[in-house]
Amino acid sequence: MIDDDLKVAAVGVIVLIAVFNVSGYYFANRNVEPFSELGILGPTQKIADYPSSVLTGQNFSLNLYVGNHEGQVSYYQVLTKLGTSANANQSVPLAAPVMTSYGMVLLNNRNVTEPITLSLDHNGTNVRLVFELWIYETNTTSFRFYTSDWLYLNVTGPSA
Amino acid sequence: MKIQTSHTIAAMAAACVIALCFVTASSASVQASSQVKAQIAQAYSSVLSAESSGGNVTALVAKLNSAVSLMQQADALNATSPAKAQSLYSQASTLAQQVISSAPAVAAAGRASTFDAQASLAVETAVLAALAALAYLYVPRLFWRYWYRTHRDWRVKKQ
Repeated sequence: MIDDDLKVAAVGVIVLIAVFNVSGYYFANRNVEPFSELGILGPTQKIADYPSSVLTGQNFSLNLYVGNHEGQVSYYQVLTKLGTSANANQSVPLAAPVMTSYGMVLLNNRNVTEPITLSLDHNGTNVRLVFELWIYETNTTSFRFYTSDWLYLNVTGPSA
Repeated sequence: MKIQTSHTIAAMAAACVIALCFVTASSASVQASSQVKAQIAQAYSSVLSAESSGGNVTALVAKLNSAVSLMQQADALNATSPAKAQSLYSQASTLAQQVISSAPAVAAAGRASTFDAQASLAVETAVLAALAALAYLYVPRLFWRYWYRTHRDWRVKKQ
């Protein structure tokens, strides 16, 4: 009776080691739910100190945070556009001209924080500065809209 | 009067030549831009393929990022300094081509290392299976031998 228990315990420990070994190999670097991240950070690379008011034509700094958890290398493009509070929708791209674009290729489970400098040419209150994340898809050979994030700004000063 | 007319014609011809040069440079830049974008897309596809083969694509991604950065700089300079933009497009194109040409070797190395990893996993699993068989056969015997060694001084007391 004790002999059987000993056999079961010894073989069980070895089988457990084998299962961990094999599953570690097959599930390494696999993302169960692939996703990407987009964040706008302030000039100090924190979720703080965002400019709320800028002068027309004057440069201001922000940081773009992009994270890749897609389970593979991903090619991203972040587009900046200008909108209003009326057309705020995170799930569709804004139908507006592109101000600037930033491209980056990220390894799986990596992120990048890229400092950017922008300036706005026209006065306005509650101007929505939109950042859109697009992912390149090899099957369609084009970028697919993923998500967007934005910042409200008052742009003051002499009109351009 | 005749001299004035010929001056006007010469000025118009020069303006036409300048305009033609500008249009040609502009269309060349647009062509270079779209060509580099296509090359970068192709390079990205080759990186993905190398990665799926198990290759270490860290260096390829770094090079591809440099190409993307150069292309962005070129796009920004396209309107103001087409000559510099062309030079940057050319550098970006070279980097993208390097990525495309290096990717198959990285993929082959990846396949080889994947094969090695699978072979070592198979060996480890076989060793563990053999250990399990040995454990099944010998653990009880070893256990009782050990138990006897550690308990041989024990005496049974009468209650």
